[in-house]
Amino acid sequence: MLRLWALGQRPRIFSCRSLHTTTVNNAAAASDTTSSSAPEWTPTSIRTGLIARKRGMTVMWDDHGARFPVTVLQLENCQVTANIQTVRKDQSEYHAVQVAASDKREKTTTKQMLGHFKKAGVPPKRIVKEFPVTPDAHVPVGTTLSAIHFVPGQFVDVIANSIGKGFQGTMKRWNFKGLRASHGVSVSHRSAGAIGAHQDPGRVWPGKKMAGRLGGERTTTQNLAVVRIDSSLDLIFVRGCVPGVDDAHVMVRDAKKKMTSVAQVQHAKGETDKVLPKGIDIMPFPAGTREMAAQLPPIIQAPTHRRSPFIPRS
Amino acid sequence: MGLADVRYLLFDRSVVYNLGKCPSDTRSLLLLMVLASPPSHLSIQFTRPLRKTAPESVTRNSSRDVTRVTFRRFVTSNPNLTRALSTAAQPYPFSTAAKIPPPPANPLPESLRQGKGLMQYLTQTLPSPEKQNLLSTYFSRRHPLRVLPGSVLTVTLGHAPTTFSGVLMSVRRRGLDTSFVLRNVINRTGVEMQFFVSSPHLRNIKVLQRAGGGGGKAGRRMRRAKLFYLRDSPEKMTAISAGVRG
Repeated sequence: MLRLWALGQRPRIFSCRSLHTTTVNNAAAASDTTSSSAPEWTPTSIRTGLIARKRGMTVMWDDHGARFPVTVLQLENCQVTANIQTVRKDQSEYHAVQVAASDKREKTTTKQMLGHFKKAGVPPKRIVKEFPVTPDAHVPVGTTLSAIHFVPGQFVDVIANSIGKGFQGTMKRWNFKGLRASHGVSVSHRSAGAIGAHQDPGRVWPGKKMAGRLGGERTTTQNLAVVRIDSSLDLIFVRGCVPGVDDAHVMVRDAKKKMTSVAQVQHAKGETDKVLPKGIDIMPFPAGTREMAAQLPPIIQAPTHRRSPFIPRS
Repeated sequence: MGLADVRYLLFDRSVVYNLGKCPSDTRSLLLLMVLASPPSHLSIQFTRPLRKTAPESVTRNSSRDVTRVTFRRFVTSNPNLTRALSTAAQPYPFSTAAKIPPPPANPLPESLRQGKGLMQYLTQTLPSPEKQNLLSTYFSRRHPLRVLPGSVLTVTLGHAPTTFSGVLMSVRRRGLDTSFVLRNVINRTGVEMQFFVSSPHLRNIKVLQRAGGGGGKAGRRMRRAKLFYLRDSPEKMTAISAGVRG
């Protein structure tokens, strides 16, 4: 299949002595063609993510009639507030896109943050987070991002604070087995049991798994498939469950394991067909914006690639 | 009806529409030929005026098929996007295999964008009109035609078993995920089946005998919402089924 983004790639330098001049000519030709101003997605690019709100869960049926649960995420005026480019101590560059979401009253925003949002030209927001990107993936400050940023059929990681469970015992917190239900066990059926050895080491190791507060911490759910996009309401339907309560802010980004690293590995191997998941040709780059969404169909749904589970295999 | 037709100098319309179903090598060849032609934008002839917004007369196929009207002209500064769109006339260039359901009715209330009543709105708009009708009549909480536990229903399915009849034991109301359980005794074996109302396999529900109402012989009112006690009392099952045949 023709991959338009693959046309502009530099050809690999083969270790073949006789191709010296052709390799040089090809490299020169490649540098001439890649003179377009708009950045183009490459398999080594890392795009920005979005901040959404978890609205709830519902259910959908695929083309074969198999049921699967979906979580509905909604963007609430998600805008880019800054592009970060710094140099670390070891002289490597750190690039990131700072994104903010959920408008807030000026009265409840600090003067410092008010100045920051005014510099970006956006209304004050409740949540500000940044996503590390490659240098070509910076987005102009003030751009309003849209649900069209994600392509149905791709995989995403969703990051949010998990539901707080309070002070919990070791069985729930660390999957301890507890003790027997009968046979003489007295008053300690769910306890942790022993917490150390004897005189050697004669202490409890630091980090010993014990009862304590569970939940309410940053959790990442990886490799969730995007099933449906609704850019009229800025909805992203992801398959499966997502950490956090309803209406919680979540960060959504391209899956590191199934999108970013797969693209890099397959690109290095030269397999252009396996760089992106099945059915996806190119990603919106550097980001899917509201202007882009106005020109595309409002609702897009992913097709079903699997075989029907209702038909027995031969 | 005002749909824009695109005629390429090299191809006729039937080839463009079937572009998605070509084998990959043929498709690459076709795209290469269009790319190779000098300024690709100028080679496109428009036989009818362009529409800048989505045409309303979108052919509504079944949910499996991609929308047939595939042309839209995009004005974008991204040359790669323009190039990708102009070559294959795709409404959604990022994924050719993606399905494009019909757009929602305009305008959407602003409160939905803030998430107020969003899940209820999705429950009402995601399923097809027939399923919406089922959810709002037979499986609602207060509709006069709602099926009460103790009714006898026959369900027609798309997969085996094609039909199943039984006593309605429970209705689990979760909006789009609403389901119900029917119990029957087949060959002296108690069989329960759970059916999801919005499932595409569920084709038809027929009410053989209604429960509830004033009581008496026709329409015995069950005093429970979930009739799981029927699993332990076959005589009650017989009593309910006797009324169906009689």
